[in-house]
Amino acid sequence: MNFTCRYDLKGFSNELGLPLKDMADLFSELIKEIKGELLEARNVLETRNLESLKQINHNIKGISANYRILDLYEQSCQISNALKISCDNQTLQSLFDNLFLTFESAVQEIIAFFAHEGIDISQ
Amino acid sequence: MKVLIADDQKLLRESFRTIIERNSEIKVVACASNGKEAYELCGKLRPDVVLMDISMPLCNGTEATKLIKSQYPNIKVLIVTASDDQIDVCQAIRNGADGYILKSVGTEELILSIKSTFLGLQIIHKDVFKPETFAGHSEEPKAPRNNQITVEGVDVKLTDRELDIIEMIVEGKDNKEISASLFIAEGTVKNIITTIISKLHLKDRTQLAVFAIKNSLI
Repeated sequence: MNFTCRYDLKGFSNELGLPLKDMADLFSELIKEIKGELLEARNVLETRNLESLKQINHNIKGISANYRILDLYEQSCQISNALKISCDNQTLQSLFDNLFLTFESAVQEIIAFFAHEGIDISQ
Repeated sequence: MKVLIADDQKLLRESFRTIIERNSEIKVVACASNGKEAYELCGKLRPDVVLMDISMPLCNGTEATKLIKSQYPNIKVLIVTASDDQIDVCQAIRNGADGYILKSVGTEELILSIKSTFLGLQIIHKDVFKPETFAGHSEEPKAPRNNQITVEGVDVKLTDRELDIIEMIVEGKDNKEISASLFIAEGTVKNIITTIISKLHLKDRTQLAVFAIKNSLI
C-alpha cells in the first residue's frame, strides 16, 4: 500500500543530500525541541507573558519553516499576527490549542513516514 | 566563497550548513549562536557573507549587523529570519543589511540569495518587500538623541560631543579620523573616550560600541 505523507520529507531529504536515517535523527531532534517549546508555552500562557510567547512562537516558526512542516508554520504565522495586535486571552489560548493539536498531528505523520521507511524515530 | 551562519537554534544552523555545502561550492567557515559571537568570528575569519538570524540572545541580529558593517564594511550580511515584521525589516536595512529573506525560503532560493548578496545585489524576500518600508527615510526627522543612561542604578549624562564621538566609534573610525572630523586634537579625542568609558563603567571602545547600540545611544 502506498503511503502518502503530507510533508515532502523525501524532497527535503534530497535537498539536504542526506540519507533518510540521518533525516530521522534530525526530525527526532526537531520533535524534541518543539515539544520543549510548547511545554514552555503552556506555562507561559497562564501568566500571559506576551514577550515570552512571541519568542517561543518565533522559534517554532523558524524551525517549522526551515524543515517544511507547513501546517505548523502556517499556524505559528497566525499566532505571530495575532500577537502583533495584542489579542484577548481566549483567542490566544485557542490559537495555541490549535498549535498544540497541529504539532501532535505532525508528530504522528512524521513518525508514520519514517516507520513506513523502516526507521523508528525516538521522541 | 566563505559563509558564516549566525542562528541561536542548533537545528537551523545544521540544516543551513548542510543545505549550503551539499548544494553549492560555498564553504561554511563557522557557525555562531548569537550576534556577539558572529561579530567576533567576522574579525577572525573574514567571511564573505554572514547569514544572520534576528532574534538571538546577548546581541541580536540587527545590532550585530550594525557592528559588523561598521567594522568590516566589505562583509555582506544577509538576514535569514522567521520575522516578517516591518520594524525588523526596516531596522535591518537601516543597520546595513545587504539582504533580507525568510526561513521558509527553498534551497535554490537560499543559494541564489547568498550568491547575489555576495555580488552586491540587495535581496529582499517577496513576502516582506513593501514599498512603505523603504519610503521616506531621508525626509524623516532625526530622532532626538538619548543623552541619559542608567549605569548600575546611577543616571549618567553624556554631552553632545561625547555622543558624536560614540557615534563615530560605532562607525569604526579611529582617533585620528574622529579628531579630523571634529577639528579637535587627537589627544582630546583620547581623553574624551577615556572619560566616556569610565562614566559608563566599560573596559574599551569595542564594549562602548556594543553598549551604544544596545542602549540606543546613537
